[in-house]
Amino acid sequence: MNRSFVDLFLIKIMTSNWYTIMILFFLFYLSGIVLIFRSSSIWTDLFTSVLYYLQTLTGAPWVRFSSLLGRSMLGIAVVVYYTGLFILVIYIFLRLTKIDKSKSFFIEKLVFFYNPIIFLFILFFLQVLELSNYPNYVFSRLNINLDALTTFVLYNMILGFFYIPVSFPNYKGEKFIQIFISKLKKESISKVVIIVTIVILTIGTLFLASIKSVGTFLNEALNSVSALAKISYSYDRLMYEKYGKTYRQMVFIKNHLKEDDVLIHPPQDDIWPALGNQPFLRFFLYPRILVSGDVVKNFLSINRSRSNVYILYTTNSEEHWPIVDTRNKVISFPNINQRDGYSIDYNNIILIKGDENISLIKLEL
Amino acid sequence: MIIFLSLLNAFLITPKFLKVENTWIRVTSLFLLILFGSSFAYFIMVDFFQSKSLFYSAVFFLTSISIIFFIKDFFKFWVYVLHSEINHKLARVTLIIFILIFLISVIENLIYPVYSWDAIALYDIRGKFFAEGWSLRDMSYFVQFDPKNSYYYQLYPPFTSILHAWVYESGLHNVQIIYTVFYVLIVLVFLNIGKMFTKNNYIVYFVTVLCAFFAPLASLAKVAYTNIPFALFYLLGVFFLLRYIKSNSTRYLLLGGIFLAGSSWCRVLEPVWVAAVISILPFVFISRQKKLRKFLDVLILTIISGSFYFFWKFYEEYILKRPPVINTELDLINQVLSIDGIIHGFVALNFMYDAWRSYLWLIVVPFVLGLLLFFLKKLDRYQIFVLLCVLFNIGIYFTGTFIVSITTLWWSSVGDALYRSSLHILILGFLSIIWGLNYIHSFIFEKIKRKND
Repeated sequence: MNRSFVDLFLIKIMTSNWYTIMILFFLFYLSGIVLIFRSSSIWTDLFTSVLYYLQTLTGAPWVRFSSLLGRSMLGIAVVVYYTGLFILVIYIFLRLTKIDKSKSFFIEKLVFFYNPIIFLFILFFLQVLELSNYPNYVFSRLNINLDALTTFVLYNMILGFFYIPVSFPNYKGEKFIQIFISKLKKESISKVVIIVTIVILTIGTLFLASIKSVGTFLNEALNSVSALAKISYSYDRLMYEKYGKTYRQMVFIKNHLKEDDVLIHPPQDDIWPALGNQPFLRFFLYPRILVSGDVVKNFLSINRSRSNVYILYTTNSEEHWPIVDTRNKVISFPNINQRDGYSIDYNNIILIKGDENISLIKLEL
Repeated sequence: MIIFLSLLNAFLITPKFLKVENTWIRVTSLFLLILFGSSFAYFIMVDFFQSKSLFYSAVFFLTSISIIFFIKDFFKFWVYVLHSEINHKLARVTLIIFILIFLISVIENLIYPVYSWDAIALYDIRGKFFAEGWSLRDMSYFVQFDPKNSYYYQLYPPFTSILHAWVYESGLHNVQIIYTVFYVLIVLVFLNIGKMFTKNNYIVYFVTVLCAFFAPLASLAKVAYTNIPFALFYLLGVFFLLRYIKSNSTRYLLLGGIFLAGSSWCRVLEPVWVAAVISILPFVFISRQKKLRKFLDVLILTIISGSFYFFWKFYEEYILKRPPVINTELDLINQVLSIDGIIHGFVALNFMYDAWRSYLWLIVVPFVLGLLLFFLKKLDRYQIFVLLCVLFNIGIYFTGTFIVSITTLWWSSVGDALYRSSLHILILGFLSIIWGLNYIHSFIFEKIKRKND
């Protein structure tokens, strides 16, 4: 029978001994390590020392290839990495169907169970190390690329996840498949088509859901570990992490306004998505009274005698709000369409300058 | 404190009431029922009687009653728990997985404060207002100088905000912990719905773990949004309706109706309870009850499940005097039937496709699988109910998107919210994996049995 290359290759894997898995895994593992230590200089240095040794043995000028090899190392590693991963997936599929029975259970357990667990803990440890120091700490000190490590752990976990059924002592994959095929042979062609479609659809969906869920699990577990590293953080620091500059602006306003003061803020639109959004501002500034720039006229007409009134003076690269004319002592509050804006005359203003593009104007009418 | 008391109450009175299902589903149902009832009572007390003390006295009275029940049934309860659930090997494995899910979720939720945008702008701050003694009606005071957000705080029913208020009133700040509880419960409910479709426990537990780490569900468990409680109420409603299909007992129909009403108490913008009610109708009519009984069943279900939706609409219109979100004065029928309307229909479809794109497989696979099982004459009543429910849900979301796209200008900004609010559809889609695996399993298993015979 004339067999294709792929057929021969698969048969080779199926009929080979347990060291196939070791070689496959070794390829995947080594290329993974190369990708994790993602710095061509390390590899150039390594090749230089190896080639220098070779040069002293043979006398040929091997060292000149070290830079080329070091630089192409990552490219080669990517190809080997994904090829190894692909073949490992096929391997697990073959084991799930139990076509190949000649494997050492211990070696497989080592490769598919203990390996992801060990790497998961290494990842957790490095994650905590990174968070407890400064961003990019792990890469700058240890040359370890955390993203590549996370992907590596993810692939290992997915492989391990699909290996779980095989590890059950009473797993009878091959028996199920034999029965399944013999039963299929007795059905009509239309039924066979439907049943095979159901099987493909189910297995495909299961595969997709499993990969996504394992990924989410890893992500969530990492997030929890990151959160643990932040257990001593203050509320301010956590909120600053989430809202950055905007949170600093809120703290600035809060520190300068008393609880019964009034704050006039820009109208709500795309230019000031946070500073114009009153419900958002209120979360940070409650119980201060907030007035949208759209209704300054209404507010001033009924609240002339109120306590301190502040205006949130905002600038970004293109826009600023409100427009203050110090020569004529007029402040105008344009609304979004720049049409029916409103202007007021003032006696005196006090400017409280803040960083992060905002200032407060204390108004004295 | 109240949330803790509710959980305690749910544990305490579970052997006495709701003699349905296993212990876990009883505790879940009772816990939600108590939260649902007490949050509504709190809302009524604060909004209509301006008094919280009455509410607290009622809670402590009920707790003392349940403690008396508990003492009476103490031994019965533990014997029941130990012999029914935890004693099973797979159940123990699940318990470990549940603890793992709980731990992963709880660490983040304990350490982080409420931070997501909508949560801080609306749900959490309402909780703080409630804790300070404001009623929902009076919250319009805050928006008097904000023309873009008039009625903002009254847009959604206050269920989760009241839960936040209880946490704040008891002097704690880790509000997000509530969402961990909901997250674990929703996984538990999925497990129990899954059990309706297969007898093989391995399949159910395996798919439940996959569902627990389904990205939208796991990510929503970290933010203080209403989506998870909403999906939890809805799925529990679906669970009891599936029970009704099995037993034709009106009791399950009532319970289903109550939990569907609970979903309206979390989010009111999507009247998806209608989808579940319409889907159950064929099963009520083919049941072997008398005609009058069938009619009464349908009537009771519709009234109960719609009660909170209509209560909220009534509250909005007559007490808050809020104009509807969608301008009903427009000539909607003429607009829909015009060419512009048809174009909008396609735009809305495209919009929904964009919103669901990453999870479309969870919506398409159940229908394809359902069709294939139908050809093999293996499609059972539960599957038909779930498929109908998903179909009508999609119909409601389409209608909603379509009408909003015609009547408003801001409609395209709800994209992210669409997939979040349809979390229950996506979770129901996960059931299709159970259906497929169960079919394959039974196909092989039948053969073995026949061979043995």
